[in-house]
This record gives sequence, C-alpha cells and structure tokens, in this order.
Amino acid sequence: MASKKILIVDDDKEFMEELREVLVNTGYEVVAVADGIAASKAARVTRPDVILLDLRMKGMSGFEVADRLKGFSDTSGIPIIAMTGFYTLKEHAWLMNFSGIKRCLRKPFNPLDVIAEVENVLKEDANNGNGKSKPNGR
Amino acid sequence: MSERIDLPQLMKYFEMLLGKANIGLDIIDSKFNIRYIDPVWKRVYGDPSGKKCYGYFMGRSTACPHCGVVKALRTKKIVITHEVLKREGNRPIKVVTVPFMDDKGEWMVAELNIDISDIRVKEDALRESELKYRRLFEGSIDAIFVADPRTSMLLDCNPKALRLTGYSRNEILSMNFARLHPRDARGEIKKHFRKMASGKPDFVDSVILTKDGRKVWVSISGVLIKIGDNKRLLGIFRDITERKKIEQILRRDRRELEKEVVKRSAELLRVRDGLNRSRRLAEIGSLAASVAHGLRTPLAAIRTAAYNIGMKSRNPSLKGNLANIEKKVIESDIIIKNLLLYGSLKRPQLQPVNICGIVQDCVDSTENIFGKDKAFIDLKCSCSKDLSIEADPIQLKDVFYNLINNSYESFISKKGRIAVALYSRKGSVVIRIKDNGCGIEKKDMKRLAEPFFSNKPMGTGLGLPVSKQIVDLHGGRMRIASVHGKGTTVTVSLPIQAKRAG
Repeated sequence: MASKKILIVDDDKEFMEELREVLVNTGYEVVAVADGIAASKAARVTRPDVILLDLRMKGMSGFEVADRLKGFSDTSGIPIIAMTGFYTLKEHAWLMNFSGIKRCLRKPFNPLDVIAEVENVLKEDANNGNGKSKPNGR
Repeated sequence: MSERIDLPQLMKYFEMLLGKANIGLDIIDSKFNIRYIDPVWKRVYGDPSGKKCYGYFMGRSTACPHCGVVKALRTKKIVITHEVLKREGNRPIKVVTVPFMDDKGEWMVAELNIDISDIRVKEDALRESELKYRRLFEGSIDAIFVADPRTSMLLDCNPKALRLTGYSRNEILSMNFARLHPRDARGEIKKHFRKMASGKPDFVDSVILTKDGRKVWVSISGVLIKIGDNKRLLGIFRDITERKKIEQILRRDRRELEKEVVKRSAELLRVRDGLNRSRRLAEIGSLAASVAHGLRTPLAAIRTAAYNIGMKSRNPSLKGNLANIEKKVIESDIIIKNLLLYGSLKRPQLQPVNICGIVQDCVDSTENIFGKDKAFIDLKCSCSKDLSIEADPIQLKDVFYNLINNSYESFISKKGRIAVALYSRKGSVVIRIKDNGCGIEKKDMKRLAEPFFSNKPMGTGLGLPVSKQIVDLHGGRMRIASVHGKGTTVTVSLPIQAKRAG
C-alpha cells in the first residue's frame, strides 16, 4: 500500500525539519510548507491524508488555512491536526469549531504523541470509509 | 399808702386774672348758698341767686357726697378735691376749697376751680401708653428682666421670666443678676453686663440655671435705658433650646458626613488600587502569554530534534544527554505553564465555601496520590466544621494541593509527618501546614517571593508564587517559616468575609 501522505504547515523551519524526519522515519511521505498561502495550494495539489497545521503563523494563520480548506470540496475532507503553543481546544473551542479543527497538540509535544495522533486519525478515516476526495469537476 | 383802694376796679382786675388763668372762683356759705361767682362762670351757668351750689354747679337736689365745703368748714383746713362738671361736658377740675371767716364772723369757703383737662388728657394718654407697654412687657413670649446697672440687682421681670426660671417674683426681686446663671457661665455674663451697663447694647448666647437646677440655653440681648432719672438695664432672654438642639444635630450630621466622605474616599482609593492591580495583572497576563508562546515553539524543535538524534544514534553514551535534554524541555514547559497561569490568574469567583471540607479533600487526595507510606498526614479542625468563608473553591483547592504537595516532596529519604491545622481567629480562618521535611535554605527563602522562582519545577500543581497570588487576591496572607534540615511551616490566613483586595 502506498504510504500515507502528511502535509506539515509551520513557519518554524527547524521544527519542520525535525518533525519531517520523525514522520519520514516512521514511514510516512511528508510535504512541508512554511506559510498559509503555500499550504492551501499544496493541499489541493498533493491531497495529503492528514494535515499537521501550526495555528499561529505570520501572514495567514492556521485558522484561516483550515477555514479555506473547508471551502474547497477536494480538501474539505482532509483531517487536520492542529499544533500550537498557545491555543487549547478547551479555551478556544469556538475558534476551533468555527475552523473545523477537531484535534490539537500542544507544543512542545513528545514526538511519539504526534505519531500516535496521526495513526489514530488515519484509523478513524479508514473506518469511516473516507477515501481520498475525488475531484468532481466543479 | 393812704390812698383808698378802688375796690370795684381791683375786683375787675382780679376777675380778669382769674379768667385768663382759667380758674373759677366761687364763695359758698355753710348753707350752700352761692355768695359770689366769677363773671365767666356766671355767663355759663346763669344767675346764681337763690340757688344752692350743688344744684347750680352739679344739677343735684341734695349736697354732693364727700362735699369739700362741708369738710373744709368742719376741719377749718384747705381741702382739695377733684370734680367732673357734668354741665360742661364732664370737664375735669381740681377744686381747692379754702375756709375763711368774713368780717362779720361768718365762716364760709372760697372755692378755686382749676381746670385740669390738659393734665387729664396727658394722664390718660400716659396711662394708656403705660398700659400698652405693660401689656407688651407682661405678654412677651421672651423673658424680660430689668436690672439696676449700678447695684446689679434685679428690679423687675415679666411673667415669662418667672416661668422660664421657676422662681417667684419675690425671689427674683431679691437676686443679683449673676445668680440666674450657673457658676461657670457667670464670668462671661458679668463681662457682657458691664458692657451693656456702659451703654453699648450687646448680645450673648449663654445658659441660665432654673430654680430646680436645670440648665437652659438662652440668647440674651441687653440695652441700657433711662426711666425718669434712673438708668435701667433691660435684658431680653430668649429660650434657644430648640435652636441648640438643631445646631447639635447639624454638627453631628456634619461629623457623620465627614466620616462618610473619608470612608468613601478610602473606598475610592481601594477601588483605584484594585483597578491598578487588575491592569497590572492583565499586562502581566498578555506579556506572559506572548513570552510563553514564543518559547514553546523553539522548545518544540529542540524536543523533536533530541528525539531524532536518539532514533538515529545507537550510541549508548548519548542516552544520558538526550534524557537530560528531554527533561529540561519538560521543565521549561512547566515554567511556561506556571508563568501563563500566574499571568492569567483571574479574580476569585467568590462563593460560600466549606473551608474544612476543602482542606480535608486536599489532604485525602494527596494522601492517595503519594501513598500512605510516603508520609503521615492528619488534619485537625479547631473551628466549626461548618465554617463557611467567601472564596473561590477551585483556586483554594489548587493552593492547598500545591502546599501539601510541596511538603510531600520535601521528604527525601525518610517517612515524614505533615500536620495540617485549621482554626479561626479574628474574622479570619488560618490553615497551617507543617512538615518535618528537608526545609528551605536561608538563601532560597528570599527568592520564594520571586514570581518564577522554583527549585522543584517537576512538582505537580502551580508552584508557590501562584499560590501566594491566589491567597493575595482573596485578601489573605501567606507566611513561610522554615529551618533547613528540620522542616517547613506554611501559614495561610483567609478572611471569612471577602475583602476586596483588588
């Protein structure tokens, strides 16, 4: 089976390098972008299975990216795992809901935690029978 | 002179004089016959021949009672009477009746009738005036005293004065004016009396002493007046008890008002300080948040990088270093967490809280977490078990967790003892947590106050600075006493009624 694709969006280059190494060593294909605008383009082009999305970025925030991706039919089904040192699911529930973010990891997290979270998400996806969204020519 | 006196001419002269002086002259004998009447009267009354004086003058048929003629003839002395001439519109006259013996040896009287209409009018006017002023004097609602400025004795007073002082008229009239006043007021009253007696009208508020020993506040106005040849001091005393009462009430109200103003000012200052504190807390909060987030991003990279190194390298000697990096990253994160908490500490959400219950919960929970083997712990509650204080239960729980935790973590090798005591004192409840752990070194004691100082960051909970902040926000106090190697005692006192500490 083709390895699953993960899109990482984070403006901290060094962190992204390290995280990419973790995920690649775990067996995933990784695409990494450093800003929000590149993120929506990359998501539509590469169609990842999971997006690891940093929320607080310069320029376009992770929330905006998530909101945008929700709007495109070819990306709206891709599960997003948010990463942040600042926001929490509990305190910023409405913001998360509004942007369609259901999962969040708090930095600095244990790398094992992100691997576990990714696996969970993929399992859920598989159970729900969500394949990759097909383009429908709209 | 040997000239013969011209009698008729003399008589005419005499009669003219009488007429000009408005004096009537008549001569009456012992049988009331009119022997002579002056021409003016004659013109008024007519021919007297054959008429008796009581008929001619008075229109009577019998002699007048108290007749001056009879009395004068009897006593042979001058008699003065007053009559009213009915036939002349009740003209008042004074009658001087002079008895004499004529050259024939017959006793008769000469009556000089002096008109006293003017005098009467004046007398009546005076009486009326006197009556009017007497009425004012008697009827005045203020007490009036008349004193002799030379002797200082009271000469007169009106009925109100008697009612005011409770003395009788006789008592007043034998008094020195100073005796109206209590001893301590006399000095000042005498000064004013002297001023008034010297002719300067004066006013003074003072106190009089009634006969039955009551003190009454009066307003006295005094003036020197002349009555005849005599100088008299007229003093009007007005009862100002009501006014004094009102003055007292106003003074008391003003004092109360001033107290209120001071209280309100203090309150305003407290509110302002509270607002300042809140603002500072908010500023710290936002600074903390941005710092915290800023630090977490690089920490994420460090942690992940260490993980990757570990995955790549089979070199066992690296294990220790990597473990250290991991440990310190976690430590840093906890410091950041405490910083965020400290900066985001909200004002306590106050509600009635069963303090004994909360402390008991914390004791039980920590005992469960650490296990019964780690330490003996007990709670003694000296105050009522139902004692309720105004506090934020969640924040308080955090504090006691933290403090008891610290105690547990201070036992390094031995099984320690933690004694928790609860008692109330002067409007506050005191919670004392005493352990016999490793204690705190003197050099570290000072730094406990620093917001982010902690030498046990691995501890669960919030840390001392946050606990202290919470206690402060409740208007309470936290004190730490420790002896290195012997143990630590933390004493927290919380007000039973919340103080708005800002």
